[in-house]
Amino acid sequence: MNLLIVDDDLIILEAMKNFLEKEGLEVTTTADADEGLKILQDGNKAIDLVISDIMMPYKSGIELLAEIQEITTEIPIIIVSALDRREVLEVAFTLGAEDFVKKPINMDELIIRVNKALMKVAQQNT
Amino acid sequence: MNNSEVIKILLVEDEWAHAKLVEVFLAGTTQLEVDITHVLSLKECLETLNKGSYDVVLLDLNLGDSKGINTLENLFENSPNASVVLLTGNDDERVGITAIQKGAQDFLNKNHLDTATLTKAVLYAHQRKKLQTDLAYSNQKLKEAQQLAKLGNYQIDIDNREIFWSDQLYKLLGLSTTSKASYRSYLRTIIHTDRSRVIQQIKTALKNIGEFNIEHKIKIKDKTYYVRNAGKTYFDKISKSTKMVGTLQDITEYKEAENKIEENRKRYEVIFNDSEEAIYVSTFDGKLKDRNAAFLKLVGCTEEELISLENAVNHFYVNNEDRETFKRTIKESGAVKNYPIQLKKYAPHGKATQDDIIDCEISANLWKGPDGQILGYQGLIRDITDQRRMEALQHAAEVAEKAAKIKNEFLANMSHEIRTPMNVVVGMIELLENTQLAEKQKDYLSSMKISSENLLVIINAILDFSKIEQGKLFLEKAPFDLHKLFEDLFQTFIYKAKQKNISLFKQLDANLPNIVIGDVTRLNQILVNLVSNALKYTNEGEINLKVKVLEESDKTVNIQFAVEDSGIGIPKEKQPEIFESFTQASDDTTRLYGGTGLGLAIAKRLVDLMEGEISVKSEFGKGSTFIFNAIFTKEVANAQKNDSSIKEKINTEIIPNFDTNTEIQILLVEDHEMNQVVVSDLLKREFENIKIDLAENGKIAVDKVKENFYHLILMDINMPVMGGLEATRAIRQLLPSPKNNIPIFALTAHAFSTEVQNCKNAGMNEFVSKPIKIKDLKSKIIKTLNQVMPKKTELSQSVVSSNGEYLNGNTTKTNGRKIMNDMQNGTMQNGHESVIDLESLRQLSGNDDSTLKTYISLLLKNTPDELKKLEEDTQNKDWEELSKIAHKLKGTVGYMGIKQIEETIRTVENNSARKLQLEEIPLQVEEVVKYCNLGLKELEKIKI
Repeated sequence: MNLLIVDDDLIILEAMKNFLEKEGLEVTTTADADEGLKILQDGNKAIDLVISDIMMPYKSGIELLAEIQEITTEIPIIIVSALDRREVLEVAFTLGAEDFVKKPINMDELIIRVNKALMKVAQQNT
Repeated sequence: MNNSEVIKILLVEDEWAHAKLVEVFLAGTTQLEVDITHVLSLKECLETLNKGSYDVVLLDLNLGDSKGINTLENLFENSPNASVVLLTGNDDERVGITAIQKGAQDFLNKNHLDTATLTKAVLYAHQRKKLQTDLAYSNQKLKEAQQLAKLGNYQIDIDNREIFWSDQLYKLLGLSTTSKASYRSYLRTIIHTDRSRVIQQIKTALKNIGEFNIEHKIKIKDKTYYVRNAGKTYFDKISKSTKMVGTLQDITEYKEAENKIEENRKRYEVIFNDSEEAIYVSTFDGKLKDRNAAFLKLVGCTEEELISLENAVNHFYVNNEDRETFKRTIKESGAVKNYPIQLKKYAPHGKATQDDIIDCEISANLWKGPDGQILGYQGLIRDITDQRRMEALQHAAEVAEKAAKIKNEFLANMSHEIRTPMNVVVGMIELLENTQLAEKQKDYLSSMKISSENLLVIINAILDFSKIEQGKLFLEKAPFDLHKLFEDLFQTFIYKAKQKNISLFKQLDANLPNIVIGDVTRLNQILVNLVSNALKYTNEGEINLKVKVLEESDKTVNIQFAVEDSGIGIPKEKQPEIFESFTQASDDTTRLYGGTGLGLAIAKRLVDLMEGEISVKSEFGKGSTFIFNAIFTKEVANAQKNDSSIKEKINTEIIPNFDTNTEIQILLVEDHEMNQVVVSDLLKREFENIKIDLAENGKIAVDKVKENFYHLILMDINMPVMGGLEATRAIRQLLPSPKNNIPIFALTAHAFSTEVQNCKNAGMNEFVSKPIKIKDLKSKIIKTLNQVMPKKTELSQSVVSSNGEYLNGNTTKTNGRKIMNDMQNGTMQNGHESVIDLESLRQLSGNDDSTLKTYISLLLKNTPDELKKLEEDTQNKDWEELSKIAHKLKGTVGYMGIKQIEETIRTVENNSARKLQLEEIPLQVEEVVKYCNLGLKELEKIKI
């Protein structure tokens, strides 16, 4: 399974990668939302799940989410943010986010949610 | 009837043959179209009726489950509105009559049925039912209408003594519909004040042909209603009244509205008549239709005179064109508000003079008739002549005030401008005195010194005075020793007094407290002024200072000061003036004795500020006594104990406790070259081991602070390129710690308290006013250096010396606020206490040291840039960007585990995003930067 993580916080980006890789997942990371979008568009790597921060400079996670949905609605997106304001989450879920993980991230929780989302993808494919 | 209408018939008949027959007969008609449902029993009949609606029920009374008239009764019980035609046999034909009484429409003998009879019966039954329904409907409507109109009707049959009341009438009278309608119960509801009148009117109505209309009040359950009884009496041929019909209507709402209108009318009449403002109604050709008393007053004309004028309104306009424009405006826009126009008073003989012209504002709207036709206009005139005059006066007053302000500002600026070069002069003289001089040169220099000092005194007086006039002078409140004040005062004058051979005495009240709280500088200023005046105008004899307690309470003490001399005195007529500014006893005095004439004026104002009064007693040629009192706050109860310590505080000279072998490094920021020399030389004389670096303006200063290390900055305020306040803010906000903590002293000739506040707000630590009193500057420098320089005795314990850290030996607990305060005082904790906590970062690394190391190096690499951006955005007030970078730093702070600022950085993020409490952000950012830098230093040292 291939995951794409987008977060401008390099430490948490690295930490998520480390933890998820230990779960046997293949992880691609970027701190730049546009680059993340490019990876998805190129299609060189089949991405099964996207994890994205909401508060990022230049392009917010919400914008990224919207743009991903324009390319494909197949890939589930998990939103990660310290922002747990209802209205932001509502927008995210309206735009098709799959799930939400609050920062500071509890890695165990993240893994559970990622697995749950991946399971759903697997079910849809069969 | 409409042919297309289908009549739904329910046929209830237990004999098939009969039923079939009915169907056949009905099928034979062309007059109507029927839809027949046939049932065999009453039970079925009732069920069917409950399920659907039928226009006519053809009912056989003798069914299997019900016999006789009971069948009909049961049916009606179930469906009271059914339209029933009975089918009877020969034997029970008489039952038909009973059935009709019970509500059946008709009855038919089954044995004599034919198409025509059946058709007719069904049609009639159907139509009758319809009529009955319609009647019930219109009765219902009538009832509803009566309810809505709150109107009940009645009918009295006089011969038969029968009375009918509609339900609504009962309701109106508050009576139950089951009670008996009677004339008496009607009369009972009428309130007693109306009752006899109503009885009388009804009696009259009974006698007269035609309609009557009686309004009266009724009272029902303590509530009063207005009703109108309108009706008509009918008579028979012999003129005897037979019948009375009528309605009773509740007209309470209408009456109340009417009363209100009347009330309003009366109220407006009062307003109209008593109004101060002229109100009038006029036609467009100028006929005055109505006006109040104020109108007469406004135009200054009697009622008779007004009546005598044709098209009266036209007479009161100054310009006829104005009136035309005014009229056009009203016609076009329907109304005008505060329309400015000039009217004139009634001038029967000759032309109106300027005094007769009234400046007015008219508010008016169109006067329309009931059909909307325009009849004229109604207006309200406001006389604004006085207001106009007031405005003019006010304007004049404002101009005068502004002029006074400009004068004061001019004086202040002027004195300031003079004071700056004078600083140089005085400073240079001081320096010159310390060089090798010939005797003659020393004399000249001494004269120069006296003159320049005098000049400074005058300038200061002018500055003081303008400050007081602008309300910018505020009194200090600090404890001081009264006795010491008097001693110092006499010390000042003893030399001069000896020279003039005048004796100085003081008489102090035994009850005089030692320490009081007040403004010692200003009190001293008053006393110096009075004593020096006394000395100035006394040529022989003595000067006596008398001080006594006038009044004492728990908290305050009112002290009287008197300065008595045996001098030339002041003539009686001049005495009231001497406390005015620029006034002396005579112009000659000025020439003879010099002075600005401001001294006493300032003294008086200072005494005012001290809640006291100043006065003079004098006899020309025999000396003067100046007396003033002032109210001071008393020291708190334990003051006596602390007495010595306060004295100590007042007297003790501050001694350096730092290692004087360490070179003091000072940056002097000053654009004035002369001042640079003066201040440098003064400092070099006081401190042996001092290195003074110079910067000509704030910008150079900031650069130099970036490059070099200084213990202290002395900063001028007004400089080209970048002023002192701006430079201080730059140092405090833009430079990294610990450079941003360098103590900064303001050097300025502006001695206003607002200026002091500005300096403090910018982040300066001390304020030194020019001309520089070296003693003052020295003690302030030592006080500060005592905190930031390595200590004499503690040198070995001290962590850092001249490498740029402001540290001392104290261990401070890491409390955010405390550290802030300490830092502002120029001290900082020594680093033993750790601010960072890497637990969460360690967890993120999955307890993997090499990963943790990667994280730490990421933090070390990125955080300084983040901090820099945080500060820049703060400086640029770019709140949007600031909120973004603060968000990022929130993460960084979290990773470093700096608990003390987690809340602060969150606040910065939230408040900058929402633009709330922005004024607090710079300080919060400062705190964050400080802690982050501390954290980064700790991170650097971590070995994994």
